Amino acid sequence: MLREHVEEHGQEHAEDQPGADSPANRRLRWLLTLVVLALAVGALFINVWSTGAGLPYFSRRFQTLVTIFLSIFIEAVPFLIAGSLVSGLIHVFVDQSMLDRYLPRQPFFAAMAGASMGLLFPVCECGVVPVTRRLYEKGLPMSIGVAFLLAAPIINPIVLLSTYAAFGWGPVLWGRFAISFAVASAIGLIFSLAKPRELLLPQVLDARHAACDLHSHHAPGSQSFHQRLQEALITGGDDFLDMARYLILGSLLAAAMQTLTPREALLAIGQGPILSVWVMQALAFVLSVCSTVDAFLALAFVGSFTAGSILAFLTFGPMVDIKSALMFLGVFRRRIVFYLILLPLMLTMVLSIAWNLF
Amino acid sequence: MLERRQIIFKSWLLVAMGFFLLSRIMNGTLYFYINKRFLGLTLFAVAALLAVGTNYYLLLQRNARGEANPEDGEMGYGHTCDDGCTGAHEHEHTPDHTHAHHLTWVGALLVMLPIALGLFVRPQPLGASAMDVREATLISDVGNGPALPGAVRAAQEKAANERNILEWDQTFRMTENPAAALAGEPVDVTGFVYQYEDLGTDQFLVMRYAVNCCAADAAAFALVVEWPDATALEDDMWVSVTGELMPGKVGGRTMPVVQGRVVELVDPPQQPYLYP
Repeated sequence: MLREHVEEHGQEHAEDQPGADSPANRRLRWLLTLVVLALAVGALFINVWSTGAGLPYFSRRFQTLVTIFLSIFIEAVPFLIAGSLVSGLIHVFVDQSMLDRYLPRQPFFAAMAGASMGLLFPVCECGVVPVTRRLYEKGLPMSIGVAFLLAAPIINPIVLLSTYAAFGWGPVLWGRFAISFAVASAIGLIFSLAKPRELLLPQVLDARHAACDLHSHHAPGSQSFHQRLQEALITGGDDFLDMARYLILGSLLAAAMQTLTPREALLAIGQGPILSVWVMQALAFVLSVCSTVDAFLALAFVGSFTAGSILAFLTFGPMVDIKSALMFLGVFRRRIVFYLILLPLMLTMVLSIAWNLF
Repeated sequence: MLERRQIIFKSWLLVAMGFFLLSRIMNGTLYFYINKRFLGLTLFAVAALLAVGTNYYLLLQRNARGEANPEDGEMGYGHTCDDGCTGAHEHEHTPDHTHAHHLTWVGALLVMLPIALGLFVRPQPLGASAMDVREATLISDVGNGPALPGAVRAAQEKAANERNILEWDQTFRMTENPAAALAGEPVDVTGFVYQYEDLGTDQFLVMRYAVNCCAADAAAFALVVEWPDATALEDDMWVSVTGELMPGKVGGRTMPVVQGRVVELVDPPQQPYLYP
């Protein structure tokens, strides 16, 4: 039975869409790393050559790149390891029957349930990816997983408190949560029409089918609690190392963008109701700041930027930024990752512009 | 045998990353990168990475003692399957799936990149060179934007000569016509020097970055200082500035300017950033 599933769903799709660790994906990661490094160092060389500032200047710019890269990475590591450990615990202690029992199957309610799950699992955009992947492997419906992935970094108690601390009870607070909930639920609903094999990487799909087949005769009591905990830690370690590669690439890309793109020039581009939204979305994507504290950062733009653009920053950034977009590649097919960037971008843009205009 | 190498490899990587983070805490450079409020989370990450890394090693020992679950295959690394199935099913999987969590050399090099950069590039907080893509916010009498509530509260609770650069900036924002209203207030701040091109030859900026989360979101705050030997000061020198506020002109705009009484070179502080 399992062999049939693997042959049907695994090999077939491994051929048309390489998995996260297939040679093609390894080449992609390697190529991305080289491109990012070459662009960063090349742009620094051009900058140094054009200013005639010499090697010490180049050294200082490189230093800035390294500091920003390490800052994004070090800040994200605790959240990623926490998410990976939760993923390990889910792997060992949660089976599909639990998900079947507690989660709604009707797509509309399922999407809304997914968008609200962050209230129970308060994770940021780094921690949510391994948790979502593991839940998918346990048979989580597509709509719930996508809605959870996009909404959990915003709709959770920690972000609620930090947004309140920065903006108080007001339109920014409820606007942020209402837009995030609506966008995540809508995208979850859209993905409820897709089949798992159209969305997930082959190895995630394989594990999903295996769990589906085996949970009925898998004996959870066959291992001691100590052994199960050990297995949870190993799963967590594997997940961390899987996701850390994408996190590191994303952090490097974000640091390169920040070192080379004049932030003030970007901010100077747009002040109107539409341009300001685009600029703040671009800024959120590039900055890749953790959703738990981005409200304080957004506060600095109040007054000089439109209210809609502040909301775009606070809703689009936690859903998708450079590092989380790359981490999605460890769960979803590349085409789907593209949609997971495009759909939140378009929907938050439309709602934020509408906020400005009406 | 391949699994044994993989386990050792992963164990070392995770332990190395844990010790790398621990070294940043121990040598005091952690705050070059993140807000101090994340110290607890970083300590958690260190503990978790060391625990997970050590657990791989314990797994090897357990297997060496022959305690592995016979269903887990030769190394007891049943998780290789990654699907909750047992070793008996392992060989039914596609090669891609069985090796889904195998760490390649490229993957390992990527994971080692932050450790290598952290160890081989001298740790430095953001300084004047980061200003190439930023602009200092200089508070004039009009259009100063919003204030940060936490920093405003801190500024209001402190005596004038105890306020830092961020708190002065927030005080300016909360004060109508700050150049005139705050004239004569005593100032005693520490920051790094930035030779801003719009300033006169007897002026320099004393700056600090304010960090909410990590250095990636650093925002620059500055005070203009008038000091006869301003040209002798170089970018990134850390100075202590004592003086008093007076109305001054920068680029044709009237703004509060510190008339420097004493400007001394000092060592960089352990926490180079300010926290709003």
